[in-house]
Amino acid sequence: MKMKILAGILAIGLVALAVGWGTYSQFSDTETSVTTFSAGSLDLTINDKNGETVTFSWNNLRPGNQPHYSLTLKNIGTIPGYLDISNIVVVSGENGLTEPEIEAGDTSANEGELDDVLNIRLFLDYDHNGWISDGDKMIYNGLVKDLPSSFMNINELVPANGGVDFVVELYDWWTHGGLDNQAQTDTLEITFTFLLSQNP
Amino acid sequence: MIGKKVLVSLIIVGLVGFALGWGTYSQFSDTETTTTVFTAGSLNLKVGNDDPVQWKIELTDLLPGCSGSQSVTINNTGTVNGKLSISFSNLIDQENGLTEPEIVLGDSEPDGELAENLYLKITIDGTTVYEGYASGVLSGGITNYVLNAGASKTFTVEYSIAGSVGNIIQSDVVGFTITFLLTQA
Repeated sequence: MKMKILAGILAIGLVALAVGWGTYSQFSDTETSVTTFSAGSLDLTINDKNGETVTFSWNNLRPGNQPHYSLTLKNIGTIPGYLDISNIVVVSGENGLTEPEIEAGDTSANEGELDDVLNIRLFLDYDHNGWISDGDKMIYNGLVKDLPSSFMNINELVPANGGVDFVVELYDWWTHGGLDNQAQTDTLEITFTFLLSQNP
Repeated sequence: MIGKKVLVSLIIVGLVGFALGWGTYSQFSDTETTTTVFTAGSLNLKVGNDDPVQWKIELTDLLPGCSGSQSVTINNTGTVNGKLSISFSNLIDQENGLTEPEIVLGDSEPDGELAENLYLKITIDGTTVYEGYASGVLSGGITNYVLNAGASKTFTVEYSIAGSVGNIIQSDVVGFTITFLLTQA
């Protein structure tokens, strides 16, 4: 008996479903569209090194030397970025006093004189020859001791997947008379921090 | 014999009766015919210029401080009034690789940070469908929006990224599907 009632209810349920289904069959149309947003990127490398400090050093410098080095700065991101140089730090060390230094009048045990006698030239080397030439962009040309702590208005736009050569050149170390000898054994450490930003 | 006469009389009466009856059938009459055609209406949704829809938003190289908008026309090109529903699905928020500036900030795969920094304002003819960061877009949508036969409305997606958002969103990707459903009103 119960079975029959259940079957009856089930039958009614199925009829109701069929009726319900019927009311769903109306006209309709669907359209779908896919939306994608991707952020760009800015990523600077120095000599193809990313996130590492690149160090150059020279020993036994003497008057007349003209050491220079090139850094290849690349934008491996997907959008163009403006290049700036920040946090320029110059550390000038005495590294002990030699007899000629003392004779030349050097009395500072903790302060070197290399930054007083060395000129430094910073430029963007567009023709990649390592030396300043016509068309290259000069950033600084003067004594190391007068180097500002940053260059935030170079206004150099580095395109995505593009790069620029930055050259540091030390020169003109022979015109300071007695001061030149005061620089014996002195050390000089200059740190540059390069910055690539989306806005100038 | 009487029987025969009676039968003849009955036949005669019958024939007269038939003749009278015939007379009453001859009335004026006229006939006209009409044909009835039932044609089903149509309900057809068109998004943009193509049907099915080809329109999509594909924006690359977005930056902190950027903004913009993309629009498309939504049409009911059918003959029946409709109700439009718009819904969002398949939200993706991907890191899409880590750049060195992202790594410096401690970013990691696989979840991106663009969705929580991409501000959206999605409207249809000025009525808001969703407003907020892309990370919450699945909660957006609209139902029973009247779209009568022949009507067209402008669907707009405005987007912006605050300038204060930094390297953390670099190369990240956000995507979602927009479904437009038109049903008969």
